[in-house]
Amino acid sequence: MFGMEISEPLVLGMHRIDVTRVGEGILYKRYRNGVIEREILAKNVTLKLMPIYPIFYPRFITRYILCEFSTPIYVPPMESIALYMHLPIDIAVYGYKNGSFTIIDVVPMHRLYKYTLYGPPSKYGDVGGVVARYCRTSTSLEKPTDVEVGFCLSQIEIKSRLEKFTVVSKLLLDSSPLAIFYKLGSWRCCTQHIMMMISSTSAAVVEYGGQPIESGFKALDEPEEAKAPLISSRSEMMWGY
Amino acid sequence: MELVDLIRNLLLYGGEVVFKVAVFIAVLIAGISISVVIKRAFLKFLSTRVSNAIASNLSRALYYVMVFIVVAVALGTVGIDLTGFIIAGGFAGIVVGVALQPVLSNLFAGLYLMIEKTINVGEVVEISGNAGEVTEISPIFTRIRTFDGFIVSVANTQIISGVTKNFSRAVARRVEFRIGIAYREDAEKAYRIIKGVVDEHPYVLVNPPPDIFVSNLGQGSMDITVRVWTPPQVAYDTTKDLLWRMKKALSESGVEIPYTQVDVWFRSTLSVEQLHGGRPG
Repeated sequence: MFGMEISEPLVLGMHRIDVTRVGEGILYKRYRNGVIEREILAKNVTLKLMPIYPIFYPRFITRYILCEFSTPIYVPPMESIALYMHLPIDIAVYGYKNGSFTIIDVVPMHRLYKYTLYGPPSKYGDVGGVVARYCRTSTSLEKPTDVEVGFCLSQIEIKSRLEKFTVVSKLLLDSSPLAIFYKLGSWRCCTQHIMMMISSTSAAVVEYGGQPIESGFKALDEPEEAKAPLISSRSEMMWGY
Repeated sequence: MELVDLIRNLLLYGGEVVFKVAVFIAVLIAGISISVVIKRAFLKFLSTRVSNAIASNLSRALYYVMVFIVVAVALGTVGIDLTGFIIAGGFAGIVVGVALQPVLSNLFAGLYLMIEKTINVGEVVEISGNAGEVTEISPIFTRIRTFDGFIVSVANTQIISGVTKNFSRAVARRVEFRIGIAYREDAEKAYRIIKGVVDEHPYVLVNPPPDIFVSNLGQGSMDITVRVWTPPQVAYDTTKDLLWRMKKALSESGVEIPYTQVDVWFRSTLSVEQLHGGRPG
């Protein structure tokens, strides 16, 4: 469970985690199909499971996440629409000692991991923009009662300032202003309220709120790669939505 | 009487010389100490504003200028006239300037590189046919550690006047493979297998989409070209891994990847004689 110390063997999707304590020493092992995939020795640390942005597995390449909606969203002129989204996440094993922490392992929760390029369309085969982790996400108008392990509940509000219908099929998230919150002792997690403001036929601004959409959820200890910016909590989608 | 005068003069002028030397050394020590302090403060000030390479080189240049001034002042305090030095220095400057022209052009090219940031330490580049990681940008040379481990020094003028490929600045890299399959094989089946491998690979970008097509009907095989885009950090790993996976998937599905064969046809029938125990006749 999120935020709790790993005290006994547990199974997470296709993975089994074993933690053996020898005096102050700790031997951490993660198996996949019976084969050790990650093995770590540590001393005097507390190991906890936490939800984590899906940007660290197979390796950290980008802090951007491009969510492609399984259902396109039609936003009427000068209107807004609120919806819920299942944001894929992974599970991180945090090691804590005297207030400092590090991620010692990331347990992949999904079968397929892909990246994509979010950038300007090109006629000549050249590329630009940013590489982002690619996720195909499902959306719903009603708040889902149950969210699977490996997914995080997110609320998106799409506002259009255009005087014509707008079709939205993707959302670029920046894991830096994006925040994950979790419920201690459960597998539940959520993000803050996210607002997508459509300002032109090709550009939008994504604004990130400060509070979790579920009350009583705790903020994640942000890893260095996804530390929140001090000034701005917004990101831009310059090349379409 | 003369001896007494001589000793008196020696003591008089000797004391003055010692005093002058002491003043010279004192000015030198004080001046160089102040120069070191100013250099360090300047380096600290610059380090937070510009790159380490620029900060280090500018503070070093400032230090040398200050040392030159200190030496000039110190010589002035002991009464050495520097006018002659300045005139001689002017001529020497012209001579040295001509002699050091290549060095100076490299120096300015280095400064230009540092300001323009065409390349940075840690980036993977290709300059004058040498591909590798930039390990150092000094005022005169840029050092590259090539992929086979050599350290190559490239003059900075060569970088700004030649073609530099910076792989680290690429948003994404395209890698291309050409796979030949036998003519008797089903090209569509091979396409599906290759597409499956490419779609399952985490580092093959979804967009721009992979491009798979029959590119050549060669002498010994039908060539399928596979073009995929990948994040630049993993381009090398992806190239190795993907080719291996495609070969494995094709072989496991029984798709033949032929080697070059030459069938030789003769226009007329050849008479073949079987030899029994030696030459005929």
